[in-house]
Amino acid sequence: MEPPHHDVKKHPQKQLAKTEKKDEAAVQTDGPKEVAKDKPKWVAPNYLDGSFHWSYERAASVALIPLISTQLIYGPHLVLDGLLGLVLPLHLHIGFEACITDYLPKRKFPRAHKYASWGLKATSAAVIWGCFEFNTNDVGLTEFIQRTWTA
Amino acid sequence: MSVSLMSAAAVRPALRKHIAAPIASYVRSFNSSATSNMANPAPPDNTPAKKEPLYKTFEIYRWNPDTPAEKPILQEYKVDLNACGPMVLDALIKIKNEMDPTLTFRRSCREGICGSCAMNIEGGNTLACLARIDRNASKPLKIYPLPNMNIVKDLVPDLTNFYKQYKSIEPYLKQKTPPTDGKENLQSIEDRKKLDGLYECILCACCSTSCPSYWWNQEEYLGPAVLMQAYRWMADSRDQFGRERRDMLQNQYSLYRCHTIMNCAKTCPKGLNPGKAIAQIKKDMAFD
Repeated sequence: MEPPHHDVKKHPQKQLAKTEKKDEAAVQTDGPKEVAKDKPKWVAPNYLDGSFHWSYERAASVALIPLISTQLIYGPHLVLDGLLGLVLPLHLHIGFEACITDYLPKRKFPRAHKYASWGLKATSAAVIWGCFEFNTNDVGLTEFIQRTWTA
Repeated sequence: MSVSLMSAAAVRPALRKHIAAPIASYVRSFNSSATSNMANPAPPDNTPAKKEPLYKTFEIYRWNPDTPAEKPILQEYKVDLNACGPMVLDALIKIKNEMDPTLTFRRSCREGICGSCAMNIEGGNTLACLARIDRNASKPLKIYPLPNMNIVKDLVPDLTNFYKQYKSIEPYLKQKTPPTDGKENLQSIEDRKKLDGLYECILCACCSTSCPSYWWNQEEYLGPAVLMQAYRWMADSRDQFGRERRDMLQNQYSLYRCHTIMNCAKTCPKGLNPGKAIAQIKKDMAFD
């Protein structure tokens, strides 16, 4: 593990001085008022970004196991191809979305975050539509991979 | 007690003859120095043979807030390991006492229970008081402050945000219906066992500052140490706000920036496993 160390810019010289002053002021004010101000702000739970997101992330990963393995064994199938063309892009979408929330957070990069997430949404939608078209009008995903493999 | 001891001695004199002597010498090794001196008087010349000095280089991160424009540097100190205690903290204290009083670091208990001397030693976060000095003097020993934190001075990181996050999870017992007799909160032995491996955390911040997710998003992600303490109160059978505590984590950042990297469990100087506690929270939240 070679952790990145902070650079000079990160030293919050002024910020530190500021917080110290604030703390001094806090000591002088009355107790109860301070407690009320210090209480963590209550934020409504957002299940869609929280546990629901986590659950369907796992569901997509688990669903991919039979979708890929059955076609590996029994060969291409229209319904499985259709499902694969939906679940695999969703799985990838969730993965790339995590990259954006980790590395381009709204807090630090408001504009880049906006462009990246809308770009990703558009791309994923296009991929899902493309897979649907390919599965219905052409040979299908598995057949395509099979032919490329043996070509 | 004394009666039974005497009768045992009286009943088995033969046993005593064969076993007592080796046991006595074995027991003597546990005695205080005063009694062992009485048993075997010290040799006339009591001065230990002087060891050859063994100089090892310590490269220590230095940054002074009085000159904020100057870049941080690695300053070298040569320490004689044969005139120094075995732990990195001993060397740091020796350097501060004998070579450079401006070297700044936190320390208190020197036995791994206070968590003050957490720093990055040889590329891993650990407590200086629990890290042995590598006796190989050909290699320098590098010491940095906890990674990706704002630095107050030298090896002292600013942990304000870390403590604020700890406060935000309300790390104390919360109840809707207190015990009816107004006395104790009873807990079964099994329920108490659920807290083992959680309550021992000393909040040294080694795990949180080893976590890449915490490096990138520490303003919003709570980090392994605080999340494990959050779980410590969710897992407590006496606490009645488990659901509310979990609901506080229902957003993109507070909990779900954990990607099971497991640096936390690898680096914990107390041998705890915050990653497992976080996985438990995720599992419980999925069934809320």
